Amino acid sequence: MAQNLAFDVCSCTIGPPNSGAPNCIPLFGVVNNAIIVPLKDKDNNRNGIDLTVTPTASTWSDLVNEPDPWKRWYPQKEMNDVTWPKADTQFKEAGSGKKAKLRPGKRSMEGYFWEEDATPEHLGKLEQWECLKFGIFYPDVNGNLIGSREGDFLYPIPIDNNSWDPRFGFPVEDDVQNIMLSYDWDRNFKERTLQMITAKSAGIDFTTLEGLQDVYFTVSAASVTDITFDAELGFGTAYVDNKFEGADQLTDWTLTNNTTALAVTIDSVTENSPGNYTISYSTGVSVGNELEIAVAKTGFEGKATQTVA
Amino acid sequence: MNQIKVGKTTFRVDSLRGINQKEAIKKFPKVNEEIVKQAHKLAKEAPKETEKETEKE
Repeated sequence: MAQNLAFDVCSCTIGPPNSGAPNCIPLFGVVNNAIIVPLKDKDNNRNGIDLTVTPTASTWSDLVNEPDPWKRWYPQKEMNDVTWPKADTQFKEAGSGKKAKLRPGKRSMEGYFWEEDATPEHLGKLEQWECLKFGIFYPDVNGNLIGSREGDFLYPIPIDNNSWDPRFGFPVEDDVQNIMLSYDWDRNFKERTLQMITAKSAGIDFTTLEGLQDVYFTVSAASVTDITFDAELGFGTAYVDNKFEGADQLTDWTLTNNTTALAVTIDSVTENSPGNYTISYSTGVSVGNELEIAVAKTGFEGKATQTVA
Repeated sequence: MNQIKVGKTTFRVDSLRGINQKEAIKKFPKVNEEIVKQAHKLAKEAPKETEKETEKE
């Protein structure tokens, strides 16, 4: 049983701590990026890594591709010039000089996304976290993953979402386009619970995890035999979108008849031009049904509905 | 899933089986006729039980 580090410091049952330590203690590297994780799933269970389960080759990619958005991991882009300001501890001080500790100072984080990782679209996605309860795992530059150890779980470090503040920065003569992100850790977070999973024991360099890409649809027509649509990735310019290209396999898509709540078997997929697709089917769709098209290709997420004419 | 790719279209092999060429062309009105013909021919030749993917550009 591992030491429980989430204890109450001033508990009457805890005596003086010993100060010895073994050799070769692994140290954190500089933080490379953040992996945002909702604190709880929709069933109100805490999201964390069960350390009693040995990770497999797919453990980590499965978390990034998790269909349930409340359990999914959201790896963010690399950050630069990361700093960790720590506010002063607050004391009540009597005229005599006697002190009483009120609370430890809060931990903040400040860092920058640069250039292609700092577009207004990125800003919008970051802003959406302001309204959610979430935590963060930090991959360091050595590919290790830093989190909060409680018992047999490593949990994401809880963030005070009200302090979450991404700000867009225009490029100037001596600076690149950037997004400055600052936020505070939850004020009750105990920093002594910080611990990491090494890249070696996880079997992965955690900095290599990439978040899902959103796919946006414009459906031009849906009939009882086929549906035609454009699929785009965002991050384009006003006239030119980034097309979602190359999804021409049957397994890249799923079709569902929402009216009957049944899956529709796809007979063919044609990429008519980059990002423009026609999907054919022969059974299970009638006029007036609501048809849902969804991306099933690994690394992407998106869906749209269309009434069949 | 057993599939055949002809040009820029991927077909589910079973969707081309048990029908003749004319029916196949009618079944895929949005797909180029020559591509459907080629896919129909390949589907007839493809082994039934394997998951092998046949690709022809």
